[in-house]
Amino acid sequence: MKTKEHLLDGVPELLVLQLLSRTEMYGYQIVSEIVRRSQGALEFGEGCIYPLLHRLVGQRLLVERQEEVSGRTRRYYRLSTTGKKRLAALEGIWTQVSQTVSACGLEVRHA
Amino acid sequence: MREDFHVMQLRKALRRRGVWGRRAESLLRDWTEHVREDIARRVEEGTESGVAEKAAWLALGAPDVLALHATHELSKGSWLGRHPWLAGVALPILGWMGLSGVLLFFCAWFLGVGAESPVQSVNPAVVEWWPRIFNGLPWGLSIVWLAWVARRMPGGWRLLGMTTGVLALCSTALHMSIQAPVSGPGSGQLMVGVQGPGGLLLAVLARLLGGSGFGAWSDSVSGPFAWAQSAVLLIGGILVRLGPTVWAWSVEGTRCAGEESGG
Repeated sequence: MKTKEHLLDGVPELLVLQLLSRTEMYGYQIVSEIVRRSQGALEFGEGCIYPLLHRLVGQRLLVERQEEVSGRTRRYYRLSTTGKKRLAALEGIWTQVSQTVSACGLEVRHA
Repeated sequence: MREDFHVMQLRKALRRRGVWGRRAESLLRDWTEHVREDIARRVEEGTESGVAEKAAWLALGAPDVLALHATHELSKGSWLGRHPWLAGVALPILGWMGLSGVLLFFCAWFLGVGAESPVQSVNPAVVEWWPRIFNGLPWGLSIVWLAWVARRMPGGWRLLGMTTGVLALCSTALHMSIQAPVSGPGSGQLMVGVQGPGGLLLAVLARLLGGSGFGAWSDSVSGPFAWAQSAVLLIGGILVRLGPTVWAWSVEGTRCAGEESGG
């Protein structure tokens, strides 16, 4: 659904920035964490997170470092100062949108 | 063996979307590492390695979907990708016009064509070579521009195609000729014309593109762009009717040969 795609367009970025604001993580760890926390509600193809990570690194929102672990190369990502500012801005937008949606009478219904 | 196959499929999908080189290899490396991590975890959990490998590649995502996400993200991350029309069409035209204008102005001033020259005696070799440089330089700059676009490639093949077309047409359409100022400053003639095969091709292509080409290039083209298409169609039609020498501008010197010898 196109509308759903547009609605969720900025969500992966917000999730990744939020996750990395607490601690540094490597790609597989980020994907696993999103799947675990969302309990499968957010269906991102696992590989889709990497182009996003590359973009965020390119925009200097994330800083990366490499580490060899059991013969595998892990790229650890953490938030940069610019990334922290971006996260604060995105959280502000998110809060504003959710408040507006609630004000319009749309409530989150729990099963 | 299986990993090579999957990597090849992913590389092909990325290439189809215009992502290649360092960017593609970097993504492929991350995807491969991700799959290896996933296989290791599944095997630790007791899954047979062959099954784990198959499941890990499946969980990674379909090559076409991953390539689509890659181009989407790369486009969002670069100015060129966010504004492909501006970067692919408007900037090359503006750049080319600006460069041509500066070169023409400098040429007219330096050679004393239609204006007082800072030099009293112009080397004939300069007069001979200047039009060649002017007619050839845009090509060189086009190649540099295209190399830069190709290296970045955030807009994919579409952007590269657009830029190539625009630059090829622009740089071949404009030609300059100089009649040397033999009787001193202000006695020559400088002519710039949109002519020759490039000019004609530009006109024909404008005619064709006005019909449907622009619409096919971008999914987002609709509504307001229909007017632009019509304008291109109209201009293209007029240019075709005007013949090979579509437009010319000339600056003639104010002095003639007799004037120089008499003075």
